[in-house]
Amino acid sequence: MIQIKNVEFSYSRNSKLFAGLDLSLSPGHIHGILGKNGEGKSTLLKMISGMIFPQKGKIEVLGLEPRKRQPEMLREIFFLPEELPPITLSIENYEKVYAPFYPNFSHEQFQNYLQEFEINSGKSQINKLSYGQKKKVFMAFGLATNTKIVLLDEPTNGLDIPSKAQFRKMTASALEDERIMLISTHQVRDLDSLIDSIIIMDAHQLVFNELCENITEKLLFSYGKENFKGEEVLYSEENLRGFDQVSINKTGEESKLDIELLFNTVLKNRQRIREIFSNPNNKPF
Amino acid sequence: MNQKFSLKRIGLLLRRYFIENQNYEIYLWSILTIVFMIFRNGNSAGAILIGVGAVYAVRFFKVFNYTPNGIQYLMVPATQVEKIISVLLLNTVYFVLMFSIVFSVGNLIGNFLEKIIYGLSDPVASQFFHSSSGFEFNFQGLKNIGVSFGVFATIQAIFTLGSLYFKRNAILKTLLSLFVVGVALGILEYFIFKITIGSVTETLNALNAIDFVWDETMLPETLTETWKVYWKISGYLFIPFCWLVSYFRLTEKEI
Repeated sequence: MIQIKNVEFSYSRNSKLFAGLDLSLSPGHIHGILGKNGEGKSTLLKMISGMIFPQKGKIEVLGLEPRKRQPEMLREIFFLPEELPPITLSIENYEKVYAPFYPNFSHEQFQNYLQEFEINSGKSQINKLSYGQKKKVFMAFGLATNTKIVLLDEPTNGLDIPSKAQFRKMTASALEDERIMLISTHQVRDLDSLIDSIIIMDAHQLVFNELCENITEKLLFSYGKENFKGEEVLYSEENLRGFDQVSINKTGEESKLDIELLFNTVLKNRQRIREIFSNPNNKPF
Repeated sequence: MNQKFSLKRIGLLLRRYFIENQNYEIYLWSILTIVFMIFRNGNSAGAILIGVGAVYAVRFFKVFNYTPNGIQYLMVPATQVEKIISVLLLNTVYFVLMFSIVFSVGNLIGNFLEKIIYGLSDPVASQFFHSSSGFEFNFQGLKNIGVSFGVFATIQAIFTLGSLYFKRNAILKTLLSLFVVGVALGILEYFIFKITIGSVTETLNALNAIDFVWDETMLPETLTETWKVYWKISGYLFIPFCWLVSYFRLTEKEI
């Protein structure tokens, strides 16, 4: 559904943001793109939506080239940027203006999502809402468009704690077999238990792209007072509770994935992680 | 729905514009109605058409001044052709139509009020407002608007292109660009005279002379004819050229 092949991109001549970027995203998953600031997460979302064009390589979205910005593609993509546009319309009028462009838009879903987010008055002017509320309106609209691709850039920024939970619940409920959700964030904890596929970017490269089920199959996340020095510990972090560790899952034991730990592990042990996940039999060690 | 071109989508884009800009539209046309109630002189209508039209045109691609607005606009599921056509319809056809209506309505109301306040033939009021007496429809003013249409459409096309080209201060930058182009054309003209007539001083003296009358025989006949054809073709093609460049600029726009 989304194919990125050998893409090169740079904002200036001196430094390349992407070189030889390859990525393939399949529907039915909520993919989380994680990375430090300035790694190119937002740029990647912009390239997928056709807002910027790669200098080399090829991007295909739903079999179409994003740079052409054909309505056939645009009506199947909803992109929520980190910064929101200042809309002087009421929520009602916003729906009236933009919903007809999306053939699968559902008014009922939109109302339900707004209700879930506790945004009551459709007559409120979007511009007069707080940043978090504005974000909720756009998110509710985006999910109600029922587009095949939903791109969310730092969606939890500006949301209060209850809203983050509501966001996770709504996003998870909006996932369908034919839908791709791609969420970029540097606040990894916000996506806990939401994403089922993790993409990590580091040094402008895609260093990790795995389904969560594969991750816990191959890596063991342990939390406790003991520092398991006997295992092949890939990453260890000391905190008040003791040690949070990531080691190779040799026994096939199930553990709860900690995205932040995984992120740090990948950044510290790129080469070893690559070896572990390129195990051709895809079996536990 | 047709993926290349759809009238329905153009309709939706126009609807989007009117709902998003309803306050601006109400204020603009109300103010212009008041202006034309006071200044009913048909000659000023042409100048106002061109001036306000340029400001109106520049607004359309102001969305690109701020990235999230630009993303919102580019993500609207319509082709770039449909987006350009909707802008063309709004700032040329719709604007001139509304301008003519507002001019006529302003004139009628102005004449009516004048009649009530000053009586039918108050010479002072007549002189101040340059008005016709009674309820006469200001056909001359409408004719002037029609005559100014060519210049207006050219200015609209240039300023629309300017608003797509320049991220900020599009009006000033477009005016500056026009000035630079004007100077460049002046220099070009200077060299053409130098090459064809020989002496620039002589030419300038001739042009500055009080009794100077342009005589086509001053230039070789073939050059004059070529020049005439060139200007005629340029005149016809300049407006679509600007719109075409605007279209390509929009398709290549990155945010």
